Amino acid sequence: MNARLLAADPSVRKVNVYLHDESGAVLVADSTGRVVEDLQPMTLLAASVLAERGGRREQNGYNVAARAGLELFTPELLDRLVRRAWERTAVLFEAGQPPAGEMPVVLAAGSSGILLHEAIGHGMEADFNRKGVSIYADKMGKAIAAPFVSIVDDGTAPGARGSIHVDDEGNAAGRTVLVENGVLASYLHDAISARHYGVAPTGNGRRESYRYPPLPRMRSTYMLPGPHEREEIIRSVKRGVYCETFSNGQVQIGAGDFTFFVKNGWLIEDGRLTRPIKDVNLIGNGPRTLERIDMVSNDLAIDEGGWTCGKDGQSVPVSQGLPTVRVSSMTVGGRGPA
Amino acid sequence: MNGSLLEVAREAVRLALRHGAREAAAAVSRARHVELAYRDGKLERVTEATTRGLGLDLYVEGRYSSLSTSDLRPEALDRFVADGVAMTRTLAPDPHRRLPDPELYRGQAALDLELADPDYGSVDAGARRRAAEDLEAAARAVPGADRIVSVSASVSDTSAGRALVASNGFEGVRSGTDYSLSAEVSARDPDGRRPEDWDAASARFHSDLPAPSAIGRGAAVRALSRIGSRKGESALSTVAVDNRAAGRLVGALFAPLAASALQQKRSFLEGRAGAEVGSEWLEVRDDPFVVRGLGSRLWDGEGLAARRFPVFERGVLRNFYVDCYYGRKLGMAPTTARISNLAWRRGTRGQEALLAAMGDGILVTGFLGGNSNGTTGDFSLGVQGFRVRGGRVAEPVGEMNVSGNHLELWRRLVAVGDDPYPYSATATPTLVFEGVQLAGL
Repeated sequence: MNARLLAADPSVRKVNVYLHDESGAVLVADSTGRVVEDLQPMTLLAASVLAERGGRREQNGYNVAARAGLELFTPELLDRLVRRAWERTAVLFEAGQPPAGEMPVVLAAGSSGILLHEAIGHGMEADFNRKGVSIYADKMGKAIAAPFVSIVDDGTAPGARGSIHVDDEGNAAGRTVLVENGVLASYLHDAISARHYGVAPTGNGRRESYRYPPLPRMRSTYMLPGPHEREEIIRSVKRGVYCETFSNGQVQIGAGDFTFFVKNGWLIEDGRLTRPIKDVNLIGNGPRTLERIDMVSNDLAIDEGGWTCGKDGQSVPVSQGLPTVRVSSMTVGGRGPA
Repeated sequence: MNGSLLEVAREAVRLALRHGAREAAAAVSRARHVELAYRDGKLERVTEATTRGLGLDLYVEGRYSSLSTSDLRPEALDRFVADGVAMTRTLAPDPHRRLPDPELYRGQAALDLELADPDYGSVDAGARRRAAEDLEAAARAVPGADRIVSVSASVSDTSAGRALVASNGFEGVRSGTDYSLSAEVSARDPDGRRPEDWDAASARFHSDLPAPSAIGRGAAVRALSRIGSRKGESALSTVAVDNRAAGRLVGALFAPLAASALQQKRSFLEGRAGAEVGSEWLEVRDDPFVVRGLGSRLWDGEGLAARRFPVFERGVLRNFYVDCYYGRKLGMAPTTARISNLAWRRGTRGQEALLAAMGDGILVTGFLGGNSNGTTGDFSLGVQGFRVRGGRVAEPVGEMNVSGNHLELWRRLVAVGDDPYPYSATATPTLVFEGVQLAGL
């Protein structure tokens, strides 16, 4: 990978390649006599590239992670990793900042699921609701989005980095429906919160390691496909941004404000992707943003990247996905007048 | 305790040399951490953990590895080191990996930095519990407290020791304590949101902590002040950054000063030594000798004798953070790998006076997400805070963003406060910048 990326273009100056391969085994035994085991392999390959053209430097990368072993790395996957790491870097030389302010935002299928992770996923973790500190604390059963919006947190997506057979309290991981046809349907539970609410555990009780207590955590969070077409969605936007790749996000559970940082994207002008954009933070409010999702495409993709979620000082591997989605308005942290 | 840490470090180095390493350095640490968390009057979580560990740097036939273990039993240590040396032989050679020049170990300051509270251990479970109760009671006693949804209070202390031994002539032992108090408050906004905010303090000595009631009150006042927060207009604006929040900006300015970033060409400050990168107000020293300072030290992680040095003088970049390895690769003299404490040129006014002089703009009290590109200097960060109108703090604002480039931002630093934040080693004062891009409506 290192050699191929260094040879990808004469402008490439530095390459970093990181390979992580892990075989995890978990056994949960409790005083009811239950003994549950799971094998949780994890493989991650990440490449980053720094290129220099005429004194200007840009850096970007690509990574792939899965509940798998080294068999994951087929020639096709390695080709994709090299190609995308380079393409994502090269396009930055053409990219600028979008304007600042509120505008329509189109989220590309795949890693844009970071929107769900921040805008609703954390707020639906039952511990925050049990404590009354989540903005979603009194919204269960209420319509919060358009009827074509359904959002799940799925422990069973085959091979996904966030997938688990059982959670760290020994409960089977299923598919938890957070939002069904626009209506808030279920929190994400660990054993404590499930007992508090008198519901069955959802298999979301996860811990970083034996040193930490289990907490309600996400697994693979994604939106189900909707009725629109990707091209139709892009065409519908007069002036806005199209977001393709992301580096990080954050949320305030109670105020509901959340952000995600866009590494690559495009300006949309008169229904077409025109100029590449880079390094811009988007900020919104969870419930308001869900209300403003007014188009959902049929092209759901679960991202293959190595996402990690942090909460209370604990990190756990997660996945996320989204079909192409339009949010009618969000604040884009760019520069200059919109 | 520290005597045994030193013995283990010496033994690890002896074993490394015996198993065939040409040079080795061993760092052995031990830390006890206790934390008590209360929520709404009930005990939420108790943590007590003692951790030990060995970090071992091996230099074998021109090859280098860095290993760690928590199993310090003599029989385990011998096997660990033997395996480590054998594995190191399989790596690619790296001529730049060597122990530091022993000259750099010399000249340690003869100072008592007072990093360990001699009364550590006198704070017992009852005292921690009373502090947690005081944190919450004070939060619930502020005006408007009927809008408080939840109060979380945390009280913690740590006692840590560390020994470092290098086979070319360094031995050091040190210990330190720290204590912290924090409170987080969630409030109910009539519009359905539940804004949260926090306050916290930490200190090396227990007697230096503020009263828990001050922290509890601070958290409640901050959370309640978020009620009614609105998004403001997109504009170029004067922006004051609260001393507590400013660490986020300073971290992004200092990360590209690392020699590793320079060598990897991921630094927008590369090649700018001696050049003006900020206004005259950007004047910062690295000061490892602050008595009871959170980042104070007599020697750094490689054993280098700590020294004060200027980082920025009247906006001019004077020094990078250079460790021995990347320094050798770049041909730069080592300074130290990481920030100790920062000492800022002090302004003459407090935040209130700075805001009065500023007139109209935004006071940023917290950042939310966002990122800073160390290669290009571009940044885009979520913010919350208050509008400043006619020199006074006005309504709360949120769901906004600031963006720009660090190479422009620090030239627009027009004032700093006389209020270094006391609970962080970066000791940031309130910072005032002109002409910052805000995104909102």
